[in-house]
Amino acid sequence: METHSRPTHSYEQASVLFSGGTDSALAAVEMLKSCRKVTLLTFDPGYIFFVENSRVHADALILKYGADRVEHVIRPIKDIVGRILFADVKKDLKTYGFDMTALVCMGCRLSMHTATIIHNLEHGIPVMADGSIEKQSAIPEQRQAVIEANRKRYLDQYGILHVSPIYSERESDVKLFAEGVSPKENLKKQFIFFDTQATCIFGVPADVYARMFYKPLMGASTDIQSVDYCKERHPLMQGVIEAYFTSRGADLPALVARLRSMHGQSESTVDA
Amino acid sequence: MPDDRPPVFVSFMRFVGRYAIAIALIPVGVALGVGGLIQFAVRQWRRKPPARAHDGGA
Repeated sequence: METHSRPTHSYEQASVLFSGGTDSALAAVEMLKSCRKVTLLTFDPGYIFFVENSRVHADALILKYGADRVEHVIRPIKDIVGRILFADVKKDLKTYGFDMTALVCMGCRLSMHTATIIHNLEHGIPVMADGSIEKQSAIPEQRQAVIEANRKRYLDQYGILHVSPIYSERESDVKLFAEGVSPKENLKKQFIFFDTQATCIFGVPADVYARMFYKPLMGASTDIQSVDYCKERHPLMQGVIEAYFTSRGADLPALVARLRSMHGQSESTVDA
Repeated sequence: MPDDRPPVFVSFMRFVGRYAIAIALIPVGVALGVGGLIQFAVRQWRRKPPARAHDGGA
């Protein structure tokens, strides 16, 4: 399966990792073409500002598609980030050194994936989507190799199909404006402070590091390093997920089986 | 129709803040990147060459 793929058939419901930016908003628009309902999941890891900005595009999507098809949830995930990204900072710095400047985004994304997996298992949602794009593949979590490795694992282990429906898109802001969702045409030109998404304190150094050094100068070895970082985090993610469902007396294998059974059921009643 | 534009002062502070933060943090990113490059070079230099296969029999 290719990174930019959409689901191969229609689903009743999907979740979208939703920062509120033009990429994740356009990903939501794409998912609404094959899913009856989409849940926009915005996560607050505790070190971002203006998370409420995500409501701009979320409200526009609700207005356009209806509250019965789009819902928006803002969820704090500070506890999950503490157990995945900041699990052992000393060890990470020793292993990855300066590369943690870029890998911090990977750890943050894996924490968001963990929260999304929990949400999907709890609510019976078999698909998760994000607004990853090739244009930003300097950043570890938007690398094709990383996305594909995680996709395989999420499907095998949790029965959740992970798709990046706009991976080859280069002008999501223009497209979103044309769709009548975005209030401005050139939102991609904003930096640091955004009209429609949060500001991350790690963002600028991470972006500079990734674009100027991590990808262009260190080459393919960073793909291997990013995938290894994910592999190292997977048991921590599994631990968080298991602890969550155990504490609620839920049967995790049964929830996974429920999601697995949803793949392959073609739902032809969805409006395109 | 209501005017939902932010006040001029807020727009100005966002404009100034954006560039102030960029000017302060871009050198941080560059400095970390230079550190990363040195780290990468050192790791490459320390890496042991792969063991050569023996020709012929045991």
